[in-house]
Amino acid sequence: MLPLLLIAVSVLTKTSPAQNSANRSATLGEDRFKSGALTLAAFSSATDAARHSIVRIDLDGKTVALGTVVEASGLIITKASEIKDGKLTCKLASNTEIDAELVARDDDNDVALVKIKATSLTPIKWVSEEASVGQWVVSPGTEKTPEAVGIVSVPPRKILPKRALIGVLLTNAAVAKIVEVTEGLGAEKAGLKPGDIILAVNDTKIKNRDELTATLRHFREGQTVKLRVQRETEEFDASVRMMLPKPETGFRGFNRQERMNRLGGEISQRAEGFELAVQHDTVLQPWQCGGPLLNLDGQAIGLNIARAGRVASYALPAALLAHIIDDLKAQTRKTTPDEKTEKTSPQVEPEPDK
Amino acid sequence: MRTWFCNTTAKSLDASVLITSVHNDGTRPARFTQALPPPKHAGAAMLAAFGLLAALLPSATLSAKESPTARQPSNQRSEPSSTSNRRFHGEFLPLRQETRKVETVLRLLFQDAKETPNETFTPTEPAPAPTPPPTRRTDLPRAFRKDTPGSLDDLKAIEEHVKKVVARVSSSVVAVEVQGGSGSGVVITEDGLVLCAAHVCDSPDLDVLFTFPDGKTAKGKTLGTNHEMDAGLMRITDKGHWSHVDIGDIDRTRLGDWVLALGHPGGFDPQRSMVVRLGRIIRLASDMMQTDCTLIGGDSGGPLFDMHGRVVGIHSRISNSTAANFHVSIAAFQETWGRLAKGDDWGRPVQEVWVGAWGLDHPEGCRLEIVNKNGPGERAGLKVGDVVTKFNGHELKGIEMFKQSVTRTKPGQKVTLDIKRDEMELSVQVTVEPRRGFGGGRFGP
Repeated sequence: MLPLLLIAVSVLTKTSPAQNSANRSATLGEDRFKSGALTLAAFSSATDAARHSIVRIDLDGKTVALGTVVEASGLIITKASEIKDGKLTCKLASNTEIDAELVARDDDNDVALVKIKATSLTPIKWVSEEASVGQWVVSPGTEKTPEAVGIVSVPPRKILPKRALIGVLLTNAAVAKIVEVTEGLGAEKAGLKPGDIILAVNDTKIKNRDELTATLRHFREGQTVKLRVQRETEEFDASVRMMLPKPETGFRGFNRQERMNRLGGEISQRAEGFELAVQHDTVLQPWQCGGPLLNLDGQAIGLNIARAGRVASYALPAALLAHIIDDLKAQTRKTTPDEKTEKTSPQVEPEPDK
Repeated sequence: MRTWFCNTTAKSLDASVLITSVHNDGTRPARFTQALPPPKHAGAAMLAAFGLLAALLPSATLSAKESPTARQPSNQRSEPSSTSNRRFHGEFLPLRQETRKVETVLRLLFQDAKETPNETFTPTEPAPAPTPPPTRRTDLPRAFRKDTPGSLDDLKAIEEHVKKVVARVSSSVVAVEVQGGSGSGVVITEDGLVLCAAHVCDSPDLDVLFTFPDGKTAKGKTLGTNHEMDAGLMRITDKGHWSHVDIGDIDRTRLGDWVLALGHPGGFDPQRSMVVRLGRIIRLASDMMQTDCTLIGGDSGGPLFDMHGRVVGIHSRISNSTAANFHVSIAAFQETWGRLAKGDDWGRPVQEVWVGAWGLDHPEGCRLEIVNKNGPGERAGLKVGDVVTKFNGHELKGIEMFKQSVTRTKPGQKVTLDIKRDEMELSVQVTVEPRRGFGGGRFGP
């Protein structure tokens, strides 16, 4: 069918000079682009060693992430949110494929440890070097040439989680006073009512609306906050679960910024909420997260943790990873297989009190 | 599906929409982008017939406090653009209200443009065109003169140099806020001339809030806007000696040159500030260039630097591929510098209009094959099979002429079509309407 049968006028005639000149212009061969094959080849000496510390993690036969070896005995760190229920296998640079098992996870930073039966793997070497803007960063895979390269765009900073809500509208009053409770969100379920004044979040006093919103900004979807609430003369605590708002939509259900963000590739399901992350301009695919981020000397300065948008990928800096990995390892020691599911799922939280 | 966006972002989280560059009241659009040639690999011939998607409007219906510019009378502007902007904003009011209901926290990200009397701005004679200082390619490390970096040493040389350039130019890159929309810009003179994109400037003599990477702000005005090229100029009107950079020499710019894109994707974020990206010039024309420095909304108007640290382009728009990032060439600014500095406003695209009918050539004019459901033509009584013989009394010679005649009609204007239908001769009045429905793929019969 030809659905395009309108008498329509476009701006084409008006812009034809630009078009003509553009058509005349030459184009750079794709292999010479920043992430083109020829350019990537120049980086292979930086990635050659590291690739033996990297695995591809398959979930039911589909590669969902890369993993980085942190212990010769088969402990591998990866991006937690990509590891879902199913059959896990790891493919090494040597092309060996080994069954894997999830043994620990840290949902705050979206990392997990998987274990494979192996003895003499090469752990990655982390260097706690401060990433400086403009420096090359290399994202290796299991091949000789890296998956992609880029530069550091922004120094390390905290990445707030995706905005989750308790679900209230506040008045402009000097205190955080509720004027309306949104249907279907946490505040309603917790029984908050218009007129209630919120005094504290998780025992931290808040004075006004701005302080309340700023405090809540640090909580993720699914987390529960304890609110101290004043209703007329009484005070009480309410547990409110943070939830995501309805997706913001624009004209005819069209979210422009969101759509722009996805122009040129998919982004990670979990792309927000990290204690500290380096932003770099490497064009990664979501499955290319979980691998290390190298400097030109082939040293791991971070771990790719998210493809966050058209212009941004995030990596957890090595200094932060040192702590995270220690905690994860401690988790594996404490946890017997039976307790594992419970202990490793902090996302599962009790229903808020009514 | 091919989509073109301008890289501006609306002030609030709930704000931006993509629409066509049309106005329901027949005045010129508030914001738009013009069509650019598609990159070779962007497919979808389907949409090609329609030209390209255009125009972004911040739908934010700003309160008077948030947007002091919107209601201020303008003594230099001949068109009632601020009125029409308001009207356009108002049209999207429901969207904003809907999102506001969800939470009260949707503010932030941008500094409030506080209303203060504009005492510092005195119109002076147009600033002289800046000239690029002499540069030699041999000033750069050898690695930049190679087709592709060939070794780790080349890469290290590039890295070292890129870091130096970033350190030198960063302080001259600004976030700009005009009429509730935000973009980026770059200061090129000590007294505060700022290069930007026309679709961020919108039109001359609007209030601008500049934010430097360290968070300091300054006030200013938009000067000229060349919408044909998407080149715009602004001036910081606060007194000061502003950190600035030189413009580059386009005659010495080559395909494959390494370039740095700086800007504020998503708008100014105090926790993050500016974002730096590296790439190469992958297409070079007289007035535009394409790079693989990824851009997104909010980058619009921001600078593209060559490896001498000089501005060679201004971010303008993007398309599907991450390698499809388009920049207005610095040459486009130089060519029309006089008009930009004087505060001219020109080159806005023809509005997209239609009557909602399509046909084939016919010996007596044009035989309609399709009449769009609920289109202006159908409502006026046009039917499939009608032969349109005259357009406002002028004989039609085929569909092309019919199309062109519609093109030249202003939206909202009534035209008279002479029609032959089963030996009957009729005269039908049709209102030419702005064509809507881009973005959702909802147009067509």
